[in-house]
Formats: sequence, C-alpha cells, structure tokens
Amino acid sequence: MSEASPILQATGLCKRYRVGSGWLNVLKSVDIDLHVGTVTGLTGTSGSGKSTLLHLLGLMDRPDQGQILLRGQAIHKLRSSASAKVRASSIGFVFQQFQLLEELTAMENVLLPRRIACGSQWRSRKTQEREAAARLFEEVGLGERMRHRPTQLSGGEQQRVAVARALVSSPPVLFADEPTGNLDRKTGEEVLELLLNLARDRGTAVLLATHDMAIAGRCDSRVHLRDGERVEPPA
Amino acid sequence: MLRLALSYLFRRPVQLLAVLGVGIGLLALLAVLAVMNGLIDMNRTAVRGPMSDLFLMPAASAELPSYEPYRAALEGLPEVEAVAPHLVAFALFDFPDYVVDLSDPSYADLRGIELIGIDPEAEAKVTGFTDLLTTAEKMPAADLAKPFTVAGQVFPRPGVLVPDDFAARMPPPPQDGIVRLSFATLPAVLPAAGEDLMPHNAEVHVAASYRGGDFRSRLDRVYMERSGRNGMRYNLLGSKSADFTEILIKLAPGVDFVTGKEAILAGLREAGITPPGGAAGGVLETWEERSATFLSAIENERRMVALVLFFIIIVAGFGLFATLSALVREKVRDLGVLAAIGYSPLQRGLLVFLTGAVATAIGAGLGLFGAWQLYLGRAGVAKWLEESFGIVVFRSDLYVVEGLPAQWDPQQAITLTALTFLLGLFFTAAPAIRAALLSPVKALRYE
Repeated sequence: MSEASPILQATGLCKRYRVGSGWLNVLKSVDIDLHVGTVTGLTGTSGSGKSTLLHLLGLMDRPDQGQILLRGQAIHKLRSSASAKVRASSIGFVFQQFQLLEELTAMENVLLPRRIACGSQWRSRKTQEREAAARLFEEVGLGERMRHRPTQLSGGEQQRVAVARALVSSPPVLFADEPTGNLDRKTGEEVLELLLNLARDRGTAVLLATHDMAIAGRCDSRVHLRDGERVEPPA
Repeated sequence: MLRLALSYLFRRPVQLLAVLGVGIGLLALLAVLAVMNGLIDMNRTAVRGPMSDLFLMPAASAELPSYEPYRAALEGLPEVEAVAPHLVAFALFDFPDYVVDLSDPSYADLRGIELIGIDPEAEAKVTGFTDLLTTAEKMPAADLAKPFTVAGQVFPRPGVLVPDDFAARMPPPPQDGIVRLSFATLPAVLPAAGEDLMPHNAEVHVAASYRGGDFRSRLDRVYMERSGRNGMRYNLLGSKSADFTEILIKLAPGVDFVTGKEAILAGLREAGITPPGGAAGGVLETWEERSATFLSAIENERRMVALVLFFIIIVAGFGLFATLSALVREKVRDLGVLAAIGYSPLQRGLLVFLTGAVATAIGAGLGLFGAWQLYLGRAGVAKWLEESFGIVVFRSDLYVVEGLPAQWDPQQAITLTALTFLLGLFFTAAPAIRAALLSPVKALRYE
C-alpha cells in the first residue's frame, strides 16, 4: 500500500430501508476515501444519509451493495463478532450526545475500549493502560477530573472525555457525528480544535459529519450528500 | 464487565427488590423445609417408638410355629444382633373395682387394647423397651430387671405394663394400692360353627407404666409376659394358642435392611423353615414398611410444601426477568455505545447475563444465609413470637411437639440454592439474548 493509498476506502455503497410496503433508498452508490492524518467533512441536510454512511463505514450496519476496505482488506462482510473486533482496534466514534456511561467514572469510560482490546491481557497491562489514559486526560485538559462521573461534568467536559475515549486506542480511523451539535459555540470551537489537533497528531483519518459549513470549511476535504447521493459540495 | 454489571444492578434501589425477592423466596423455602425436616424426624421417632429394625411374621404351616427353631436360626446369623418374640392379641378390659357401663357408646372405643406378650430380657436387647420404662412418668417400674413384678400382692396375679396415657385415665387404686384389670380375649382357635364362642378371661394387676406417645395404633398397648405362669398363654390364650405371632429383629451394626432381609430369608431356608412371603403368607418387613402409609403421608406433605414454596422462587424469578428486561430497555443506548466501541453481541449479552447472575447469586446467598441464621436462632424466634404476639408455633397440647423443631439438611440447602441460582440464570437468559441481538444503529438512535 503506497503512502497515498487511503486507509479506508468505500466504493458503491448502497443502503435502503423498508418503509411501510415500499423501500427508501438512503444511500445510492456512494464512494469515499479517508487518508491518514486528514480530516474529511461530511455535510448534507438532515436525511441526506450522513449518519447511515457513518454507521456503514463504522461497521455498525451492513451495506446492501458496495464494499469497504480498511488498509486494503475487505471488512464489509465480516460477522458481528469480527466487526466488533475491528471497531475495538481500528475505529473510534464521537457522538453528538457524548454517550458516556453514567455508571462509570470518566477514567473508566475512557478505558472501556482498552479493556475490550486487551482482552485477557488486561490484568497485566492495567497499570500501563491507566497511565496512558491519564496522559490523554492531561492532553484533553481534564487531568483533575478523571474520577468524576459524567453527570458531574459539563457538556464540553463530557465531549472531551468522549474524544479521549475515541482516541485512547489510537485508531487509524475516527468517525465524529456532529461532535459540537450539543455544545455552545465557544465550547464547540474548543472541542473541535482539540479533536482535530489530537487526530492530526496521531495521524488518524477523521470523517466529521456536520451541518455547520464553518466547521466543514476547516476540514482538509469535503464530501457532500444530497438525497443519499454524493454530489459536489456547495461553495 | 463485572464492574459495569454491579453498577447497573445497584443503580436503583428498586432493582434490589428483585434480588430480595429471590432471597426471601429461598429463605422461606429453606426455613420451612428445615421445620418440616424437624417435624418429620420427630414423627419418625414417634412412629418408630419401640419398634425393631425388622418384623418377621411366620409363613402359614400345618402346625402352629414354635419360637425356638426361629430363634436358633436367626441368632446364628452374623447379620442379626438380637431377636425377641411377640405374642399379640386384642382384648377388652374392665376395672373390676369400678362399675362402668360397657353399653355406654362413649366408652365403645376406649375398652379395647392391643395386648403384647414379650420376653422382657430379649425385648430389651432388640427395642427401646428399657428406655420406655426409664422415662415413664406415671408409674415408673420399681425394678427395671423385673418390670412385671407387682409389689404388695396378697393374691398374686400377672402384672402388666400400661402406657402413661392409660395410667392417667385409670381410676384411683383401692386401699391396697393395686389397680386391677379384667381382660377378655378370644380363644386362639375358634370353635366350630354353631358352638358357643367363649372368651378367655383373666384378672391382672398394673405393675408399672411406660412412656407411650407413638402414633402406630389408636388402641393402647399393654405389655404382659409372653410365657410362664404369669404369661399370656397360660392366663389368657391357652396352650392351643401360637407360641408367638411375630419376631422382632435387630440387625447388626452396619447391616442395611436389604442385606439383612436377604440373609434372614436365606438363614431360615437353611434351617428348614419356610421363609415368609409368597403363597405361604407371612411377611418380613422393616419398621418403615410397616409404617409406610403414615411415613409416605408426611413425606408427601413435605414434597407438597416444597413444591408450593418453590413457586415463590419462580415468581421471584419472574421479578428478576422483569427487572432485567427493564434494565435492557433503559440501557439500550449504553448497549449501542458499547457496540460502537467494540463490544461483540456475545459480550453485550454476557454483560446483562452477568448482571442477572450477580443478582441471583446475591439473592440466593442472602436466602441461604438468612435461612441458616433463622435455623440457628429458631428458639429465640419462637420465644419472640410468643412473647410479642402470643403466637405459639406448635401448641404442645395439640401436637406431639415441643417448641419449634427443625433440622438443617446441608445437602438439601445447597441443592435448592443451586436450583434457585440456575432458575435465576434461566430468567436472565431472555433479556441477555435481547441485549445481544440489539441492532447497534437502532440502539444509538433510541430515545
């Protein structure tokens, strides 16, 4: 695989859902490439297929047609358990609603992906993993709040924890679905800055879904969807 | 995963109700069964009374059987420790010093007794006969070696032993202090048709009482010597009567009923005696077989109680099912997030399964511990109930039971705890499968 080869490549992705007695085509033969260390903005109106595309690329759902290659390997036909392993090792998610587990502390939330990735070796790697996670907390500016529960954190802080959770395994690919949609503009700016910097530093390929054209403008490239089809982004 | 399962479980106090439900169900089951075990054990002891291990009633033969060949054959067997003969007859009795109108219907079922002729020394070796004498309350025997001896007799008559209950109902003795009884039994051999049927009568003196209180027969049992000048044959049944009607057998230590029976039947055959059973009649049975109707009745009662109480645990299991189903519904988004960060369907199912397993294990553990504590403190509980609320669990004047009998059966307790745990896992399976099959996309969109 050459330097210019995409880390993740999807071609001809189609997805349709049954609605009543008919079918709704949500994605119509969408192609997309994600490259190491670049941030791709995914724009489109509500219902244009942004979230569906993120779910397909994140192996949370299966395309009806098309293929997805991660580092050149087809991953779109994997069984559920194999998909889960790929997600644990190679894909990070940041959601609009933060989606932290309320019962766990910030540190425990961040360590969840590592627990899954380490499997039976968790016990022996625990200390090392905790130290790495603590460093990440320092990077996201929450070094003092690792033991807090999500309900004790502000929205911006929760999203920072979510960013740390998405990046703790240093995944090659990160999907962010409206990561600033639930934050005020100032906090959203800060979180976005943090997310993009951390991802670029780690060489992570980011696909960032957003309504906000200002945010999209800060991305390295853009993919625009309209009624499930990839079209030229508006100026 | 365990950390997350525990935090899900203890997130809301209401979820602990499911845990408590399992615990209380098991506690009730184990506590009631412990009491049932105690009652059954007490009943078995009472039912057995002075019964030996085995009873042998001889097969029919042309001549009435003699005890001696049987004794020789049985005592020669290593499986047999001791034997004792019984000569059983049924009799009517009367107190000759008092006028009692036998035609009075209220006396109809009080005038019959089961008269048992025994050889005291042999009896003491085979049954708990001596214990019955030493624990007598009304008229303890003056000399345990000669319990049938009546002190102060001017005109010697055979002595008899009556149960404490019977002694309590006896009229006060006349001036000489001796209570007299008149017995009437049917002859051993019935006269030909048309000839008069004459009962055999005898007057006996009450020598002592013994502790009664077994449930075997409604009739009072009165002991008398089997043979000799003061024996049943000489005084009541006549020389044409049988030498014995049954033989009580005590097995050697460590010999079980089946082995003992086989050895006895073989020993009788070897001695040229027709063994009991089959067309020849007669029977060789254990004390449990003799009391089978009563013992199976109380055993059935225990099973029914266990069955009914196990339904409580099943209901508690449904509570667990409802709680975990609600948990899965409530945590749909969490399950979606876990799927997104790499939890496989199996791991998501295991998370819910583990939550249910922990709940069941805690509930079952609490139930087991609570029942054990209740068992240990049962006397205090009975006392507290009586002092605080005036509730007497078992009234000694109604039941042959004092206090709150209980017997802890560790194997039973562990088996039922394990069953409860398995039942809890069974009810956990459906919510766990639901969590495993949940679509991550739908889960993340769930509001």
